[in-house]
Amino acid sequence: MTAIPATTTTTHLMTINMGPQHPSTHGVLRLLLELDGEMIIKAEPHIGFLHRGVEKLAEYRTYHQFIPLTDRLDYVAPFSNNLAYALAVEKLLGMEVPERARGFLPICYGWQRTRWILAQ
Amino acid sequence: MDNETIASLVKNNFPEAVTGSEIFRNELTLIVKKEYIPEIARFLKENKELDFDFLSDLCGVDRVETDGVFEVVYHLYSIYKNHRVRLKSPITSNDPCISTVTGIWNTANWHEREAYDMYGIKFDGHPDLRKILTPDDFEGHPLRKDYPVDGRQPATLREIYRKDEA
Repeated sequence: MTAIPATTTTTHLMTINMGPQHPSTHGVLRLLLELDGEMIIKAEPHIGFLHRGVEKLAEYRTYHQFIPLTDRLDYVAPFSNNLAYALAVEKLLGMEVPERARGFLPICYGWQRTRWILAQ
Repeated sequence: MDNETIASLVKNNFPEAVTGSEIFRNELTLIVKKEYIPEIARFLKENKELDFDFLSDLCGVDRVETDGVFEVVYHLYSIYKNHRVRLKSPITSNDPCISTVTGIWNTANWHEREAYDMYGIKFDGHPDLRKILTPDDFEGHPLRKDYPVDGRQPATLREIYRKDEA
């Protein structure tokens, strides 16, 4: 088998599209890859496919009405976004959370995290 | 370092740049004139006592209706010192532009592109100021308050895929 000189491959750079419809990106990311054989020379990411402007939707909602939308920010970790949002609103309003709720939140969070790790 | 010490350290070094400061729920906010942003950013990062090595967020705020300005907000965190500060810089709404901090914190690159996309704030000296989230043919800046909440573009998918049908 004759070896192919290294210079022959570098003259044939190929640009391919990875995503958004790609099993590993599940619709969220597109990478424009520049390849030299199997080597990736350059990768240009294009994002925003799942950008739905929840900040805009939040402008016309009350604090309670926005809670279900925080679920949708990350479908593999919805409760962490609920939690972060709830903590932010509580801090902003200076609310005293009952002890029972303080214990309940970490349990909920741990449960959903475990459930999603097992699902993957 | 506690909030008061951070505030006084910045104010003493830049007496004419800091126009106000506030501590709310134990979070420090400094209001900074936009001309001084690159200088203050570099100071905050390079000062050994402050050591703000992490720009955790950079975003825009639309205050055109109440104050006639856009605000650029920098959330800074020091990983080693475990303290935070928030910088707010008001910029006029008729020509919203401010210097980039990409050279100081690399992560500002995409954050500034997002602020440009969402509010139309221009970051002078940014290496690659393009839209980041909205599609190329999207018009306007969706997080401005004068952009309608139902401002979907295009209004329906039918306008893209079945525009030939009546």
